[in-house]
Amino acid sequence: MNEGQKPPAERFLELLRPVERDLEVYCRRLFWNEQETLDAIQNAVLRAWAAFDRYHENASFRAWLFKILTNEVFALNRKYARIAQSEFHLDARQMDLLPALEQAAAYTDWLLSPEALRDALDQDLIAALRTLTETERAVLLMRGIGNLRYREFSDSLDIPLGSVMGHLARARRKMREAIRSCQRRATL
Amino acid sequence: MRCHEARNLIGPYLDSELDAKTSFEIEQHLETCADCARAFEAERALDTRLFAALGRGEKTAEIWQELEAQISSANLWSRLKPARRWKLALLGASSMVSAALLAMFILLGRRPLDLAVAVAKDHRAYLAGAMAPEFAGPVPDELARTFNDRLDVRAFSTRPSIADFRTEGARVCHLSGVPVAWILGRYQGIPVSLIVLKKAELVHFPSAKRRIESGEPVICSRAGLLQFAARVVGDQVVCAVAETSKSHLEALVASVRGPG
Repeated sequence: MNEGQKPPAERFLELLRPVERDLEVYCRRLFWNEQETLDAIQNAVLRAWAAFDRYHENASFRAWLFKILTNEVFALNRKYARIAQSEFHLDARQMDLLPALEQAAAYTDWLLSPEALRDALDQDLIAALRTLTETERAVLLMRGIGNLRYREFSDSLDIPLGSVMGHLARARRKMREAIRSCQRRATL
Repeated sequence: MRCHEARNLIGPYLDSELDAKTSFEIEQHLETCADCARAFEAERALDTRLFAALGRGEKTAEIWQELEAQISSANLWSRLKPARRWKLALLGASSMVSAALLAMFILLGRRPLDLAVAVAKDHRAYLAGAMAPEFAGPVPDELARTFNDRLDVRAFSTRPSIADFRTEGARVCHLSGVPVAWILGRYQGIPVSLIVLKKAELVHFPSAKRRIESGEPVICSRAGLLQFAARVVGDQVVCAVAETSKSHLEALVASVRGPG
């Protein structure tokens, strides 16, 4: 070991600590079963530690860990066949019938109302997350919690950059519609 | 730039993913188009609210402490591994081994057991009302058929013989993929989880396995505020977790007689 160079474990922990909270919150939202979060995090972090000698210092450690954790969660989801249980996809025809929200003045009024946004409770947001596919949920959370770049989503999920934009746009569209539906129900 | 072109790029624009030229064109368009400016502002407001809500939450200190301890202990080992270790051995191999054993003993004593951490997580869900019994009385046949020899139906009949223990019901849970019988109850009014798994499944919980195989009649550990105790009864491992004292939980686990 060179003089002044930190031991690998110390370096790894130094990089890990600032990301711990975001990784756990991301995992909880992505997994959909809080009870499995512990396993997924443990597996992913220990996997990253085992592969740390292959990590390049000039790459983003945050993005690298998010990628490993996402793969871990997807693998566990497949293993326990939870995808079918935890997701109910919106019917494509139903999506087509959604109003052209960007052009709806009433919709922008609603979005700009601080009261309406404040009233969209966390549970509503969680319920809305359920309407997303696994990939849509991952890109939305990578953006919102991981604060990653599109090319990092693309690398993490092994999908083209253009698809990333499509998934994220659909995720945002479904979320705002689902939140609006919750809001409408609450006001009835 | 036209309205529909600008609106197709709302997401990448808000995410600062556009090149400088396109961003500039959008900004120019927003200066002249009030409708688009409003739509962009609305989307920005939603993103802010949405991401703030999705990102809310704290990390679970025990998980990360456990992981950091595992990684740090690997660090200690790697520092002892280099070739010059033989020099240290010459300085007193026996005293080093004693010191290492003592250090391991202290570390293991302080660090929560893997099984305790896994069990504590679900018990917290029980305390928070997020986990409830699925049945009371005999295990439903439909459920029992899913065990595939990994869980013994009789595990659900496990009860402590100590007074003041009241059962509320049971359910099946999975700890690190291991199916376990989860009996929810109260001991002296305090919520207690009684968890029973096959002894063979301990391979998934190496630190608990090591402690159990060391010959301790009841192993104890803490996971945050929760106390954990476990012992082997026949070919099963019976664990209990609750927010109570070590002696109380130890006595409760020691009183388990197992299924008849």
